[in-house]
Amino acid sequence: MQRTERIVALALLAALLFNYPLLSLFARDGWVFGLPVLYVYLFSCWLLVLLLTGLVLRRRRHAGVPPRQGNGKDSGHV
Amino acid sequence: MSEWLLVITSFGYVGLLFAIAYSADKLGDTGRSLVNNPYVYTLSIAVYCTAWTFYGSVGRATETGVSFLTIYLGPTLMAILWWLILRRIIRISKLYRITSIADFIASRYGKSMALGGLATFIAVVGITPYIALQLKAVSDSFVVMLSFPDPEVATTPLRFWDDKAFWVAGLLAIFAILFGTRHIDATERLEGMVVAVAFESVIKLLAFLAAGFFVTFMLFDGPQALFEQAAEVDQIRDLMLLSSLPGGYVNWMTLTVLSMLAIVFLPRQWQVTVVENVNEDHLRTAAWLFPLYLLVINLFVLPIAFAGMIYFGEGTVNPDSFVLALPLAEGYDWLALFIYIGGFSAATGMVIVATIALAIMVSNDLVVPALLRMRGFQLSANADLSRFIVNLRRVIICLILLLGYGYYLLIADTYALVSIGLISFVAVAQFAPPILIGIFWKGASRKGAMAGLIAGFILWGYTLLLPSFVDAGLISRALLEHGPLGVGWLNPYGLFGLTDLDPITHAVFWSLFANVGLLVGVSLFARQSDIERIQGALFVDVFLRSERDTRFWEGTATVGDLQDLLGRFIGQERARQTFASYAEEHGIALSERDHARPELVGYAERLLSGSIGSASARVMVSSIIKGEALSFEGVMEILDATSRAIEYSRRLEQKSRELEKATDELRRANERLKELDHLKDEFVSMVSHELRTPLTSIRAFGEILLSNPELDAEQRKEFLQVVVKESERLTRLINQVLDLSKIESGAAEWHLETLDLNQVVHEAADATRQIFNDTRVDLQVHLPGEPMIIKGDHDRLIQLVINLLSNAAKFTDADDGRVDLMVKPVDNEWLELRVQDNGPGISDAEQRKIFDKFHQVSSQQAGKPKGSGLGLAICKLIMDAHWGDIRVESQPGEGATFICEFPTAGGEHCNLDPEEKS
Repeated sequence: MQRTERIVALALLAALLFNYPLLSLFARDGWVFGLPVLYVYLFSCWLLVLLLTGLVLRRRRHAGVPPRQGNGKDSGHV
Repeated sequence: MSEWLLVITSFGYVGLLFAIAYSADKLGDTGRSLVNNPYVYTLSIAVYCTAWTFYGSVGRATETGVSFLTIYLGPTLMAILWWLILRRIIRISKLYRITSIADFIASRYGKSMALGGLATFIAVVGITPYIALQLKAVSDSFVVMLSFPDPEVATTPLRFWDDKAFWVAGLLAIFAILFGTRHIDATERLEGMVVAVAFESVIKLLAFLAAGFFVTFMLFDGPQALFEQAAEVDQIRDLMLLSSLPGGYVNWMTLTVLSMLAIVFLPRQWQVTVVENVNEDHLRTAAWLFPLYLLVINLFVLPIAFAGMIYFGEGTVNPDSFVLALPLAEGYDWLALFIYIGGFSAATGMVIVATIALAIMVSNDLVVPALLRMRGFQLSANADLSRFIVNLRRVIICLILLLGYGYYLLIADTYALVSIGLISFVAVAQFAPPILIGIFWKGASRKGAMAGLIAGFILWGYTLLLPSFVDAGLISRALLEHGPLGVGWLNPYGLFGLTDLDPITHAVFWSLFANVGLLVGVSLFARQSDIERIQGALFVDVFLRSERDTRFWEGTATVGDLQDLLGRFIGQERARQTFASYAEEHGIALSERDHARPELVGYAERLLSGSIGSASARVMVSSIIKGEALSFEGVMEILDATSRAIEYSRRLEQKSRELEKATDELRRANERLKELDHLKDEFVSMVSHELRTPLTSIRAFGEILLSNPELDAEQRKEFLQVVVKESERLTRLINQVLDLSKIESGAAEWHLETLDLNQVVHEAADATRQIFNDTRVDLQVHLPGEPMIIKGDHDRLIQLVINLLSNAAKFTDADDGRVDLMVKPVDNEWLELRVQDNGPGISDAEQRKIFDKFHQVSSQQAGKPKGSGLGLAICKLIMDAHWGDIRVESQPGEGATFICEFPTAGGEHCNLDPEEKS
């Protein structure tokens, strides 16, 4: 199921955003909107990640296909 | 601030919690549950934010800057994966009525009592410091509120009844007992507790935000100004980077991973996310809303930490209490009181849920199994044990809180809040390998899980718990400096010479390395027993199987025995009701003497699991079963047969659906055919009828002529004229029938060309001139000056006009009849042709039918029908083929007007092939 793949991809992206070496790029002196750059980076990535999570997990409405339908094999992957 | 005000406020707040929990329970009992709601669910998960978050994060931030965030970024990462991991765990727990982490591990690895007991032991030892942390936070905050700004250090009072932490612990024990042990069945939801915890999550968030707003916008001029001022202090400036992080990026990653595991495997998180989950779909909301909660509650941690450092300077005030000290120092006592309540709610929420979760674990997976092993206990059959178990849990709740209080007295004073919490995090991280590996790998075995857990736990105790005793002064510091008995490579902070890592990373590495290594390594070589293989298959394939196919018992027990057994643990009355409703649901009659069917035995075992844990339930059921449990192969055979049957029926269903569809199509085609057949019959009978009339008259006159040779010439001529006329009519009719069928079948050849309608009308008028002259009807043709260009078939259009004109001639009176033929444009795209006569007109009813085949206008005046009834039908077909339309306007007695509308050539209406129209 595509949702599983999206979840894994998003988790990998988030893990990269919140760790070395990307983190080190922002662990430096500098200011954005008068705030420390690391502080701004962490919180905006955080917001982005949780918004994407909500988007990925949103209930999808397929025209014509009832939500409960689908065989057991499919749901086994999620 | 006066002590009494503080005490009354604190106790009043707990009283409010009681009221909330009580009304939520009452509402739940009457069916209006508050917990079936993703927002309450999310807020209850926020029990993750404890006093550690509320007070400790600020303290941590003053030492290591943004590293406090790792504790919240980890859960955010894990929340993404909830849909894959936690949903599976929830599904398994609901299916098999699993009520705690320990029970989950025990159940996965063959319902092993030993493993459940071990996991429980680890949980209790691991979580006790965490409970102590909350008590310490409450006690510390109380002291700050009471004595700030006096430099009175929080000291442990000599007599415990003077200690507020003791009374808080007692109050929370009462709460946990009242709302945590309402039912013996631990799978029944503790709605009151959940709603109370959700309420606490709101309070602590509001309180912390209030503190943040006060510090950032009232004490300082907004965040920019605050950070600018902070940057001028060198020591604070470093905190804005990661350079002050001990252990650097490795430590950062360790803490992130650790908190990822903690959000799932802390017993209290397990309780609210798994056991209290009402609907798996709530995870969709919680997975983004819970991280948002964490984000919001952490926004002001750094500003408060920096503000405290600027405001108080170094060393005068404990950074853990900046949140309270800042408003107090500014004289905002009421704000400080509200913030204090926020911290109080953060601490109490954690203590309540953790205590209840641990109590269920201890009773179901440690005490009850131990009691069942005692021969004497088992023999006292028929005794009602449900009461006993509920009371047992109450005692355990008290003991756990006492244990936490004891740890607090012993050690907590020497540690910062966060350091204590991290010790607990590493302990519960030991549950991750057996559970995560166990739900995805069938091969994970009981022996492997056992070895891994033991090793992980011992290493945790040695590398983290033991050093905490050193810090508390219970053990000589030499242990940490030179290792035990001077053996350097056994140093708890540098095992096997691994001294590069900070203590937490060091402990995480060794304990999880040993845990995972042994779990996998031993499993690869150990043989699994049947029950382990069954459970492994059930857990890993949980999404592939349906609930109903868990039958493991081949032996026999009577229904009565089974009901008695159940009754001992959940109450006789409830057991009787449960069996009655089971019988009703399955439409079977249960008599006490009957052999219980395997499904019923499985059902009873699951029910028991909810009350006494899966391992004990299995032991109890096996004690009354004569015969033995099914082998792995036996169970798998049943399961496979079931899934094969499901698959087969699914395919059957699909086939029958396809069949139904085909039948439907066939039926529709058949109906259409029948209709066509009917139309054809009608047509044939009408044509025959029309042909017979002229034929009859020809034959009649022919016979007269033949049998009466003496007829005079005048009469003979008259009769012959009739014969000729009728023959002409016959010919015309046959031509029209042929025409009509040609046009209808689409076989008519159309020669579409761009032409001038005026030209066509002119030709047609000339062709019919003779008819009009004969009948002395006046034909007036009105043509516009400019050409009327349309696309059409020349011959068919002539036929159309001739049909209309001869029709008009037919129905008007000789001598004073008058027919007007005009062509004129309607608008840019359409033009029309009108044929107007002053005949008798056509009634409304007739108007609707005149374009039908063989419809002949009959009127008194007209006498016998004058046409074949096909002329207008052909006109209609010709107009259809020209993308146009024909209609009639008429008032009886005032003549009739036939109007044909044509699209002009080149317009969008005439791009189609005429054949496509039909």
